[in-house]
Amino acid sequence: MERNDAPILEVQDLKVAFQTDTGLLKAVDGLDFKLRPGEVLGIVGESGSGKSVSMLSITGLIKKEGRETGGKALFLGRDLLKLNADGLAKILGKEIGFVFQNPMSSLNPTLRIGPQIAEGMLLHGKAKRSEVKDMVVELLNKVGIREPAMRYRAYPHELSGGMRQRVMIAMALSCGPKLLIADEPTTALDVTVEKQILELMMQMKDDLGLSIIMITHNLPVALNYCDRVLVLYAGRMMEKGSAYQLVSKAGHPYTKALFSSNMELGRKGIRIEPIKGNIPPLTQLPEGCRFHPRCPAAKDKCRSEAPVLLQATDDSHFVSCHFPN
Amino acid sequence: MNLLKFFAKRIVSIAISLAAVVAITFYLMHAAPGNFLEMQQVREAMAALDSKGKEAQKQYEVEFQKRYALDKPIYMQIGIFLKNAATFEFGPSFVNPNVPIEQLVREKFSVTLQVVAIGLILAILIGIPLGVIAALRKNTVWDYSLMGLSMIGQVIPSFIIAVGLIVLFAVVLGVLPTSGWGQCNHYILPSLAIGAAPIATVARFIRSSILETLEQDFIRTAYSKGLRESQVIASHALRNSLIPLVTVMGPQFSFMLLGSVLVEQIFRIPGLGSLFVSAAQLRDYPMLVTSTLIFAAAIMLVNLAVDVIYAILDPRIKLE
Amino acid sequence: MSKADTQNADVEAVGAGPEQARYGGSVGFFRDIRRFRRNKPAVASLIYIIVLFIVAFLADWVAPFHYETTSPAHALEGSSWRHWFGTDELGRDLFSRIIYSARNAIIVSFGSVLIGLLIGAVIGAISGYYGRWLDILVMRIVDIMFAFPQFLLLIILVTAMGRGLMTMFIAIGITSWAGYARLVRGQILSAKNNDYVEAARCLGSKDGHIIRSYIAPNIVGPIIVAVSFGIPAAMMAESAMSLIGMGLRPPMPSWGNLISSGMMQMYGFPHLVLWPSLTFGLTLLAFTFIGDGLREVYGKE
Repeated sequence: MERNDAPILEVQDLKVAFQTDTGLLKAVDGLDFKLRPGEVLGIVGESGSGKSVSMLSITGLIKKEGRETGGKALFLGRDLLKLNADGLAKILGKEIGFVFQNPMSSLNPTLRIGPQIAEGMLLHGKAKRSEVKDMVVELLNKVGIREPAMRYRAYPHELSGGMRQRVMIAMALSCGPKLLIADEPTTALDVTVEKQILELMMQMKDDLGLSIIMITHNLPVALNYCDRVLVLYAGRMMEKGSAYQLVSKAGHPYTKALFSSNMELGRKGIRIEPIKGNIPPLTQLPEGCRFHPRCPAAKDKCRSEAPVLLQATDDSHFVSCHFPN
Repeated sequence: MNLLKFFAKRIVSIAISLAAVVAITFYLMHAAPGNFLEMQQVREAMAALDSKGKEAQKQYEVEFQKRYALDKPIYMQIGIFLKNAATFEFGPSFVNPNVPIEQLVREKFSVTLQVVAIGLILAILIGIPLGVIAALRKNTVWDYSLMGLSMIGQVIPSFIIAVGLIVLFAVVLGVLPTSGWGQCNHYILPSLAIGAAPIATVARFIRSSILETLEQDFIRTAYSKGLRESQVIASHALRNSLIPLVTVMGPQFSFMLLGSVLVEQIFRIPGLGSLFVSAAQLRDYPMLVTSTLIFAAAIMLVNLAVDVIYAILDPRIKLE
Repeated sequence: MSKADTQNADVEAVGAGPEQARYGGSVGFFRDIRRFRRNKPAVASLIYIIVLFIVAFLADWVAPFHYETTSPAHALEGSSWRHWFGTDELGRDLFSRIIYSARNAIIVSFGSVLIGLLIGAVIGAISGYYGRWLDILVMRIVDIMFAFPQFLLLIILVTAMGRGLMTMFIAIGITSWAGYARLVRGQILSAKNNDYVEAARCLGSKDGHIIRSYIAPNIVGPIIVAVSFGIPAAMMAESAMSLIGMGLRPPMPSWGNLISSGMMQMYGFPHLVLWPSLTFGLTLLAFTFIGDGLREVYGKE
């Protein structure tokens, strides 16, 4: 293995559960992946699949009482799950940047955007107070905000949705992180703006040599922009592989269902089929395969025995199904 | 909408309201049985002063009526008063015929404002930290006891708190005077009594506002930048909670100003409240109307100021 | 609030459905009681207030002494079996005087809230229901009432009307109607714009019928809450007025009178000011707990 191929983030058997009034809520159950430098990993799933929870948990951004975690999350060799709040605070913002779903509510409405971006840079010693404004303006320019010097003094509500997300990206990248975690970065945006933001993220990735984890419920987005894609359902991995592998030879019925339920991916002659039923409540998960109640190909074995993730077509493609095809 | 237009509009509506307040007060005084000259003390004083008997007394009454424009119809009296009020000249009162009211009011109102201002400062200096502590220690003994105390502070009226403070600090401990005015230690108990409810209100408000703000998405963003909890609270949660606190301070100010009427009675403080009460008791109408006007004007102007300050502090607010 | 309601609601209440929960009015009376019962401080306060009421109304029989009964031989005594809270400078039993104070406070507060509510509800209802120029006019008057510092107006009114129990509750009623008017008007406006009222009108229902069947049930809850906070506020106003010598005429006892006369004896006999303060504070606190409990049941304001 080459030295520069050492993973930025290696998650091993990550489990996240919450003690609730109605019982143990298993949000994430056995997440495994390696993210290599310069790679874009997509985590795809419906809401409630555990995709956001997994990433927010390893970075300590979910602090709910009753949270229990298991497994490992090695960021450049350090296990994030073993770090205390102070240890995490030294890494967050500096080495891991975040872009969240709703840029309006994710920015402090009472602060001008410039100082909000500068906050992290000053905190991590990336800039001196005297030079921080110029650096922020340059950063705003880089993420494609016109008249950056003027926008420095703007409040979030004075910007458009796309501009706000550009500000979030500038904020996330302000300290030169190695990893960018984008949690549904374009869900709250118009389709036309969505593409611009995604292109910007890809450009930043190339310019700065970032690795990106893109959490999305939008399969086409993941397939278009990610090198590798991880499909989650009810907290478990269903399928994992390169974008090409998923498109050409999806092995899990859930992945296939996602394809056939998607309008953008619908191919000529194939009907759009919504996936029947809902994701089960995470406190009352079904026996066996978690997808079986909604799976068109479910058999007895699926109802009694949980499948494990097994290598499928080739060595980087994995499927968790008793009857993959 | 621009600030100036908003300001002008509000000033006009305040002026109308104040005119209405003055008119109501005048009519009520007019309808009241008895007047200043019929008051026991005044009669005795006049009888003592004037040995020439009924005739001179009658003449004095006529002069008195003329001097205070009491011989004119009531709407004219109101008009004259309002005209004078616009230039802050109120003429003499019944009780003090040689001193212009505005001079007395200025003197007394500054006393009242001092007590209220100290109470307000206490509310901020004590209330905010208590609220922050309760929010940080949410659902612990700290939180429950602080919120329990603040509930008591909000419910128990200032005059009961004043009595409690006097008994504790003056009677039992003997460290502070029960009443009086002029020295530093005269400020402590009245300000505390008057500030108790605002302290409690501010503490409760800050607590709930911080807890609410902590649920917001941008708090997660703040953590994602690598800020520690204390930094997140100080520069995001508390900061955002302090802005709406301004709107709480307006009603608190009027609450304290009216509370001062009672607290000044209890501590025998020569403020505007005492002036108002004695004017009511002596039926000193010019003084009564003037002090009512000053109280009402102070409350309305502070509320206007609060709205403007809030609009300046919160960039999202547009004045209407 | 509806969220908290559904969380607190028990199984039966959920069964009634959200529509019923919102528009049910007296239909949910027993459910409301069940919900109120879950708030322990409110229940304890209610028991205290009920006991206070019974004792106050039976004061002539229950109180160990009449409030005017003096006994110079027993002046300024501390607590004893004979005089639970001690006696004042004239040897009057403080405990009995506090019971009579409670009675006067109850008469004044309930009387004044009734007056304020009657004036306010009628004016607010007319203004909200008929709208147009009448509404504008009434709301201007209400605004002016709010602009007038309440406590000052109270003092001026009493100056104009003279002291006494009767003027006390009329004056407090007059100074408090504007709040009820605004409340009733707001509730009626929001009810009026609801589809079911629109539908009833289309079906030809008369105004009176609409008010009785559709609008009144919705405003009962908020009014109960407002009244539960109005009563302690009126008690406070009464005792504050008595404290500065503009309320009830001594020897008729009032918490305010007791406190102000107690303060004169504060150094030697602090019990004279402490007992009235304590019992008055406790009573106000109890009303507040009840008000909070009711607000939980009926939703905010």
